Amino acid sequence: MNFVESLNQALRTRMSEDNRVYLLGADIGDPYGGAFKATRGLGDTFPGRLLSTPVSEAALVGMAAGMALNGLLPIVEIMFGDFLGLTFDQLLNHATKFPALYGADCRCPVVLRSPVGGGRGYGATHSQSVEKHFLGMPGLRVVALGPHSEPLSVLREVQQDREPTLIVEAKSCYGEPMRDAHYWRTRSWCHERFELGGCPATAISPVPREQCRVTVLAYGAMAVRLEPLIWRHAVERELFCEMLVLTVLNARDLRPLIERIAVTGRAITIEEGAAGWHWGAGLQDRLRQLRGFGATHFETLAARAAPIPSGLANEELAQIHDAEIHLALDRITRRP
Amino acid sequence: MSRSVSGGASSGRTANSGLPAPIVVPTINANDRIVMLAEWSRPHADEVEPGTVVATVESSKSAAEIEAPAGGRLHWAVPSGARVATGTVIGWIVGLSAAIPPVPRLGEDAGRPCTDSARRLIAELGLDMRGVPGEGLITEAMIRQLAGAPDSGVGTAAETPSDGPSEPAMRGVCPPAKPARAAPVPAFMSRSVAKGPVDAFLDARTGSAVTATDIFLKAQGIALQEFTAWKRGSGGDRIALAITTEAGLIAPAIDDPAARTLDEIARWRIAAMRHVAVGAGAVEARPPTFAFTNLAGQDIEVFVPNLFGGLSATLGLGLRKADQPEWTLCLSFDHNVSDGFYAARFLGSLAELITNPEQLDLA
Repeated sequence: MNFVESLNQALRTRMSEDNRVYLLGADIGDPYGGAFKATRGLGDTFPGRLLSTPVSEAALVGMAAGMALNGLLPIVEIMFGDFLGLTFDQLLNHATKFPALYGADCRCPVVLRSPVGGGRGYGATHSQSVEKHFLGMPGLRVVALGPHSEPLSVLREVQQDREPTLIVEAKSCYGEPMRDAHYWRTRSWCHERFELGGCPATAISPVPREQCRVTVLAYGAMAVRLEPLIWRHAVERELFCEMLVLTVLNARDLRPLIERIAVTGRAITIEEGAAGWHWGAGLQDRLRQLRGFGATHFETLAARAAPIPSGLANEELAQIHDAEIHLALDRITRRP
Repeated sequence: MSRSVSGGASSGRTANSGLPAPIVVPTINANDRIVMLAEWSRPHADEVEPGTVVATVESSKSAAEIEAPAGGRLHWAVPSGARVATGTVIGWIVGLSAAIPPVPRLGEDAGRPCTDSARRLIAELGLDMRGVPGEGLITEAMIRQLAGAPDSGVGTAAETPSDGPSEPAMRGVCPPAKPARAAPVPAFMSRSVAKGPVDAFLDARTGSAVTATDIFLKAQGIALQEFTAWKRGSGGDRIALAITTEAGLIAPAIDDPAARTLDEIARWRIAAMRHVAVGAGAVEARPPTFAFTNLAGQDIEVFVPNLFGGLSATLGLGLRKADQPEWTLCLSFDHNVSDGFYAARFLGSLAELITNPEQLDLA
């Protein structure tokens, strides 16, 4: 099963097991089934609970927040992550504030899901990884879904929350096979799940993690891209890395990460989003404040802080190159 | 000369229960981690009874026959003539109706992932890739561990700091990580001990079965009581006596020798050696265990005993020559169990006990 099929299955299961679950979004109904077909078939099965809406992201998130306040569990699809900007006020000044402003009984578990990232040549306003702009918003859990994360357990977890959740989906990985235990076993990777921020995260490495020299932190499409690079480093150089593929990007309790990074003593975040006030920088800052972490060697690698050009060939120029990743892994391994 | 061992990893499993039973290469000589699959005694896909001899493996010194761990159809996973490591699954006993793939060819790539440097080393050693136990990516460290070769210092090791005290600073957060080193580097130290008192002690006990070996076993038991860290690691007061036989090295273990009389230890030793002599095998030491090797029977005067299979330390004792006033005790140890200071203290205590053997007889 590939990622988008798994996502579709998870949405179907959630709608079957809880009739408070509603889907909202532009063009998500059948026969179109959404721009990336995540909701295909659901409109026919649950005609009253899949609401195809006009293209007005602010209105639609405001409506969903109201539904959530009234006890429903809306899941909103924003067709491209780039348009999450239009939802910003609804999240910043409304949905994330309600539980804080109106007390313990007030719940607003609205879920936004949106495809992000490049790899399709869609240009400056359809290829961005915009999650960094939402990571510091108090009361908003930011979750990255891709082939490494099992969508159903994530949806079940975040819909129990009092507060809103933004799910960013690896757009270029919708067709990728899901990375389950069988997937890793048949490819000779060591594989483990661990919990971070209430959702399962994945740890993979070519050899047992005690033999790894570097911890790589990544999520979404970048994690998929890093798999062959990490394997190549292992086979050609015997430079072994453990990759932690995170699901919750702004988890409050980072102890599970600390414990894993302690095994190698060196860590690097690699992300598709643009550098400058990015995910890795924020994570580094938070980890540094934890006792004993200051001496760990930590680096971050992010894409150029520039608009993404149109066309795949030009887009590649703006992304992190494989050579940069290889150099960074080499450099960090050599650090005393 | 050869001995027969069951190739099964676990007893009681039968192929007819539906689960294939693995045929595993046993350890036939502790110094040889890589052996040759000399021949399959029964054809591929042949029907065999449990206990049928199905293969012969040869180490540098001896050979062993491997018996079918269960009844069923024999599946060769590795061809005859392949060099394989002990612990490797070389074949399976499968159900009579199971489909059996064709015989693999010698030197064929096993399809298991392997790092470039490990692949080069495998070729150098003439090892069959299917003969590497375990699963997952084969690394250079794994092959070096099998071959008993020291770390090459190439690849990761050359580019990264060693596991010494300058390792990157994660201290205070978690215990430091275990180094990515495959085989522990054995170190050793030696000490001379006068043998006159032992000779005199044994002369005075004419008619007794007690030998110098028994004296050493008991003295080690007493000397080791001081080292609580070692006892924690070994899970008890147990000492293995390494006995070299033509079929290889056997290491039956004695529990708590410090609490036994010398005569009891002598009786245990004689029984253990008889057990070995009739080919019945002996209860082998479970690592980590302290081991004692006496190579006097091989006319060896001084040697550094090998540390193998998770043993915490090994004491070696050589030939007693009439014209030599001293023995040389040689202790090899693994720095993850003891360090030089404690090993030196242990040898000191032991030497004191050996040069006053009368006190051993008091218990």
